Amino acid sequence: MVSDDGDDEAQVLRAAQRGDRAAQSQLFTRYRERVARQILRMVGDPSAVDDLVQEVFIAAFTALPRFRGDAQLGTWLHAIATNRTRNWWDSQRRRRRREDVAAGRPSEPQDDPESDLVARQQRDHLYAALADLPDKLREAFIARAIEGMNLIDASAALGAPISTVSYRTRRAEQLLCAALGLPWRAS
Amino acid sequence: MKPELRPAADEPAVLNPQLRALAQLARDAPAPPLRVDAERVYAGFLAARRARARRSVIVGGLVLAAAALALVVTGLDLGLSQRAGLSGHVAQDMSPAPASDRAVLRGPPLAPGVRVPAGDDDTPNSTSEPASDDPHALVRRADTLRAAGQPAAAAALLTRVVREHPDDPLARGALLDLAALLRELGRGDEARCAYRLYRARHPGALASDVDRALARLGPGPACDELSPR
Repeated sequence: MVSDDGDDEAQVLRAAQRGDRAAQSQLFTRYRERVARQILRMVGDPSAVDDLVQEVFIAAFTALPRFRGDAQLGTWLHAIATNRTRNWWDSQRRRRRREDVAAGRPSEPQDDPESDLVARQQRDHLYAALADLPDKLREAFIARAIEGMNLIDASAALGAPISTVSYRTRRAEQLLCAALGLPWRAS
Repeated sequence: MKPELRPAADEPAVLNPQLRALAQLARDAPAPPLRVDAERVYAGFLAARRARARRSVIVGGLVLAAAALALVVTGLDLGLSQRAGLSGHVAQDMSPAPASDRAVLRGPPLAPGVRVPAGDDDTPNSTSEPASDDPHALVRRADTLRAAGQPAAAAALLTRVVREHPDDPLARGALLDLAALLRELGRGDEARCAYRLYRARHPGALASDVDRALARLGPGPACDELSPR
């Protein structure tokens, strides 16, 4: 999470906090791929990534004057992205209820190789099951299992104690196994 | 329903191999090409700033209007009261009813031993101490206490998890939380013991983070599990 050029980043950060357009642009360029990857892993829907990335950076630049540097900028952006994707999951749930669609994933382009198609269908199953989890359980599972964070990083990113993150991840796994018809015991 | 947990050497994020494979698929999903650029973000940032300024003006206006209205109403009220020559008995009429007259909502009493379950989103049940020594209940209660600004009480519960349930996977995270809490409380020797115990129980797992924490604490007395000698 620490950038190699920490001093440079601190300067850019201070300028961005003053509303400097070039500095904001630099921060955006530096972090956009990482935020986009994170968001894709959180929502599993490539078509939602662009809008969410834009929302995250607008929210971040708006709140940047209040950023005190208690956390790494990357961790702070992760927290903003987590909040934004939580709103996205809420709206998806509302939409699903409205449309009353049981397996309501949007139609996918058909020009992919078969193996990609199978992989995407499996991912879709996973994200459909994730959609039904409570926010906190889903966020812990995604941070630990999909983003691959260790317990300490996940704890910092989610603002929850390590033992709580551990508990939530296990509980999420249990519920996901039930939803996906997988045995809970790993053997 | 409480998750059925079993000990794991290094607590992998996912125990079930099929679910682990699905998570790996999700992790490896190809990133879509990003269309959003810095210009669009900056335009959005300016629009958000303008909207916030407008909201501030509107809210400020509403607050002023409400304050003015309150002044007018208070003035009218005072004038009416003086003209009507209201005396002390009115104030008595407006005093709170005795407790016996107030409506009280009561449900049927719970049978002995029945506890209200916490929600699935692990909302902490903050009404009481954990009735059992269940490690999940202890961890969640510790979380609640810490959020409520009672780190010493939280540390006591985490100590119980570490001592009484050393084989439960939750004990690993609890030990790290305990060490950090003890450090925050200024109980450096105990924090050092907690980190050392973690290193002994989970060699290799998060070793560099734990070593950094120990280095920050500096040297100290030997430990007997969680207690400094």
